[in-house]
Amino acid sequence: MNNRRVRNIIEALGKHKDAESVHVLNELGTNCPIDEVRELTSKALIRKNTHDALEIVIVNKGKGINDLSARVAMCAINELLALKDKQEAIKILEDTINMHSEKEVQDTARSVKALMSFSS
Amino acid sequence: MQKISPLKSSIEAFNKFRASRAAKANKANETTKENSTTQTNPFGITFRGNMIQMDVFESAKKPEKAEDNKTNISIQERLHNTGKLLASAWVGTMNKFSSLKTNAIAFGNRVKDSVISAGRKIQEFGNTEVKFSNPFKYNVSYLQNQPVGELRTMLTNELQGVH
Repeated sequence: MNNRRVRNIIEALGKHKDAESVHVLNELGTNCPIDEVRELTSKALIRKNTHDALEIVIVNKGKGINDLSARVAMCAINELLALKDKQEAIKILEDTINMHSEKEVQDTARSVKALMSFSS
Repeated sequence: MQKISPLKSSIEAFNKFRASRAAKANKANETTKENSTTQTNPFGITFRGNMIQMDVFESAKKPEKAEDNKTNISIQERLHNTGKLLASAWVGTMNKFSSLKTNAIAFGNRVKDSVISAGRKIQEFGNTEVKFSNPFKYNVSYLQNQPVGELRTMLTNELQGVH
């Protein structure tokens, strides 16, 4: 695996205007066994700051802020905290807290929402 | 039994030594004379396979005759001397021409070889395909403008070894 190439492709997909790029990142990036690739994918999705992209990293178990790797999860949370416009992210976090079936995911969302409200 | 005196024996030994030295000196003189007679052509110039002898060239020694006696030289002798000079000049010219010929042949062969090798190189160059890969292929700004399908394929190829 060429790190520079993978990094650039993921970054390009994150900046791509086509909505299909979110599906590619979700399919190939978030399911990759390499922590670094998952971390880069989470960052790219959060920077998109769209509903579909944020939903992937907040709602899904094992992805984004719910990743099994603490490093990946912390990077995703940091990226969420660094967002200028946090409105969409907070809305999805609230929906997750209220409606998600998994208690673990609800707790993570609650913690992240608390952090975001403190930082804003 | 005869008594041997030391003086007599020493004289005999001296005489023997003198005789052997004289014999050696004679032998050395004979060999030098032979060498001087055999080396008639120090430059080793040949004419049609035969070594040219000293008599072809003009003699290094000046004629013993005086200047005023020159007019008395017979026509036949003059012709003889002129013939020798002409022959030596002819041999020199022949040698020059033969060396020129060999040089020209070698030069021609070199030119032929270089032309053949250059032709082969041109042929090889014509058969090889020169491919220019895009140096900006993996730049973010370039990738951003590519279709998502292509990016998906590229990412799949990069991560292929991992899965």
